[in-house]
Amino acid sequence: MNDDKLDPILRKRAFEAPSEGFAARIISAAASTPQLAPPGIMDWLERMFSELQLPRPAYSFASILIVGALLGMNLPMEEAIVNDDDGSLAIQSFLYLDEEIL
Amino acid sequence: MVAAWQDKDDETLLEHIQKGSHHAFAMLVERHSGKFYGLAYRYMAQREAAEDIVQAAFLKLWERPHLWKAESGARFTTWFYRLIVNACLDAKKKKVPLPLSEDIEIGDDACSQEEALAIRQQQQQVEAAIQALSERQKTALNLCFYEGLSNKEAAQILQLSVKAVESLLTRAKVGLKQKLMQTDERKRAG
Repeated sequence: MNDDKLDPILRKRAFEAPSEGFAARIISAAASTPQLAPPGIMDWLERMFSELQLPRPAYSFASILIVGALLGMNLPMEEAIVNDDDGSLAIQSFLYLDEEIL
Repeated sequence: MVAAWQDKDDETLLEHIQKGSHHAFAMLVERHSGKFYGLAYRYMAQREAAEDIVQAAFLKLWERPHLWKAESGARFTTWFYRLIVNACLDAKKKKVPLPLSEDIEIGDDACSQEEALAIRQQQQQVEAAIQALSERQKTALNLCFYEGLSNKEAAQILQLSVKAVESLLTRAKVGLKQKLMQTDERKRAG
């Protein structure tokens, strides 16, 4: 089958014309529809913030506690224990760095 | 008054619509609703569904005329054809395909019932063959073959290259020939 044979067959495809007064119906529907103003910067901001969910304080506090507890449990014990002697030495040397030792 | 609007091109009418002119909108609808309906009908195969899609698209244009951007450089018809194609594809995704309407006029009133039946069968075969094509092939066929748009215009609507549209049309026609020949063979065998 070539295009010369195919085209007349395709032309037989069913088609219904639009109902009477189709254009008039669209026009009268528009007559009772108000036009919307073009979106300004405030509309854009409003839309942006409407999609932004601010965190709720109770949920945020609970989440921080859970994350903190999980991090604390995953930290190796030897790193979590602070050596008091090393710490005090470091602080002392910092405090008296530029001063003479009495 | 009407003549004054008739002389204006689509893009000028749209500028007036953006300023709230009902006359300009009426002119645009009178000028183009028929051809946009034609395209929508090719997708939906149902008068009411096609009319609903075209009406909704025009009302959206009226409500939000700023959606049309003159500076984009595209012609109104190209832009609006794209809207209609997208609306039809969305509607088809949501709806179950319907069989060919029973109340379609065959054309010649003088033809016998047998002839009418034969024509109806041919129409159903053609419709089934077209429905078997991919969406892109169907769209290219609807735009170029049935709506008579050039390949360049169809390429702009589909946002493809002209070569890609040509390829879609060629593949569509090859697919249609195969499908219709298979149907013919089955009819002869049966």
